[in-house]
Amino acid sequence: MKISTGALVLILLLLSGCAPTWVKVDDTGRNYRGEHYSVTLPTGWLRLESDSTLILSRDGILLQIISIQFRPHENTFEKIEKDSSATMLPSELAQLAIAELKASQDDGLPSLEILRNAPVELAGHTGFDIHLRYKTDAGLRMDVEMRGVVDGSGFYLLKYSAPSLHYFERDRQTYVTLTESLQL
Amino acid sequence: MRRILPVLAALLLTACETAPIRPMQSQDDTRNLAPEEHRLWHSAAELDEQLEKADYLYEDAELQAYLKSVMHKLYPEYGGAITVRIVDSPSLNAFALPNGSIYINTGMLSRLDNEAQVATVLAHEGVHFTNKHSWKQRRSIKSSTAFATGFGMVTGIPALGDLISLSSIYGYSKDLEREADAEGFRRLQAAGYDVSQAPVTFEYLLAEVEALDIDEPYFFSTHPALEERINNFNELVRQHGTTNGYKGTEAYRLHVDKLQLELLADYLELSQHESVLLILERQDAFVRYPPSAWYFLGEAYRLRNGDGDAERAVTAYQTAIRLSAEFAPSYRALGLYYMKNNNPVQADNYFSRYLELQPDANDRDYIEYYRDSLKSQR
Repeated sequence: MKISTGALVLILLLLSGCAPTWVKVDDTGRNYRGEHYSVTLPTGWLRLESDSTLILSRDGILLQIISIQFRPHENTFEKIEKDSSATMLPSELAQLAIAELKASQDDGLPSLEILRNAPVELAGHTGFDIHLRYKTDAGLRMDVEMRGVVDGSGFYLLKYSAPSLHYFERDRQTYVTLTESLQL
Repeated sequence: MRRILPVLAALLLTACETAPIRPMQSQDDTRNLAPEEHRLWHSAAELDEQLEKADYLYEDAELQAYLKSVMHKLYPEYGGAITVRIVDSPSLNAFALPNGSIYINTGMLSRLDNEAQVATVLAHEGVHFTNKHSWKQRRSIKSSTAFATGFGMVTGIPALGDLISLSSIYGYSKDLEREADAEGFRRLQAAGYDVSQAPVTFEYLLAEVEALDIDEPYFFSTHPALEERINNFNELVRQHGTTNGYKGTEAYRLHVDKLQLELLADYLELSQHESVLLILERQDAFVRYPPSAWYFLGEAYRLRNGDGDAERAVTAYQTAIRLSAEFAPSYRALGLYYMKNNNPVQADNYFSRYLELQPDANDRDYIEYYRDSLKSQR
């Protein structure tokens, strides 16, 4: 069984007994400002915040999940033991982000297909924009989009994941709009 | 739960069966299965199906047909009853299911040098099937949850990754493994292979496991299992002597060339540059690998990023270009190197050649973006 990052964070939080609660994003709470970035959240979605990850979902994390993560340059890609740096090229960053995703699964995600991997402007910097697809053990097709960028402080990763059928396309624009609102 | 109940019932029933388990003699014996064995085959068939459904298999019809022909040389009396499938995984592993499905990983295939070596692995795994080792082992350790889980007996639909590792890690008892070595060796000899290759097959794997400090729980990735194989085969060679058997180096290389390069790319994709270095820094590496492998060596140095690695990478990329001028990725790599080292003219030349050779490159957007940004530096 593959467990998404969001689900894993949630499980860990619940186990630790200090689970934060889901908060519905209303008009007054749309403008989120964290320690390293700010972003405009989609109204009506639910938001869950942990130390370094902001998780958003509308119908539940198994149906769609958007996550925003800030990671310092040191050991940025923990699973593959790689750092990032402010001078890293977007294609190099993309390569590491894909490697980490593959390494996060025991089987290395042999069904993973890269549908798009291109540069994108993100918060005034050039980052990567990746669209991936894979099949779960149960045969369910999942689509994942990731956008990432580095600055002097660290690496920012925005990720959207949903079942390919019905859900992915339905909420994709919400994710794109959110990434466009990112400010570092 | 509906899936679990019949399985639990089956487990209870099998606990009462104590009739001796006799090895099969030919394909005919696969048609007369005891009820317990029949259930075991059914579970194995389910696993076959799941592996296929979840895209775990490496699709290469020619390579598969080649492995099938090797298996047929080893087990001619079984006809098509033993099948060989390739698992798309860089781990050093191979395993046999009780229904005669034998799986060998791309990682294992890429490390072997010739047909005699792959035949050694297939002959060994084949004995696990013909001598019904799964069934024997199951009887002796039927209380083990790990074993039951390994065949999907407890959870119904287990995670395939876990299932693969459990069914292979678990391997078999020392006696059964020794039996597989001895009978496999006899098969190898009868099929006319160079049996001196049998211990060599596992010597290189052991060296790799030690060098990379691999702690994967796979049967062929553990010290004791590999050492045991080497010792057993050395003893068998000592007892029976070597013959001028068939090694099949050229035939094997012809079939695994593509897979070997793909695997190097997979390792780099997973940032496992140590594996690439270990493979390509071997003295005979470039006898076994095509010249374009120099590019992968360069990439491994770049990813390691130690003292002097940038220079080593450049030399490797340049060697790749000298020996394989049409291999596009080497040009991209040098373009990126020169771009990062403030040489926009050189960088653009290499990028341009890269896109010329590979107009439909999947990173074309990046390269065009880099070329645009280089214009302002020129």
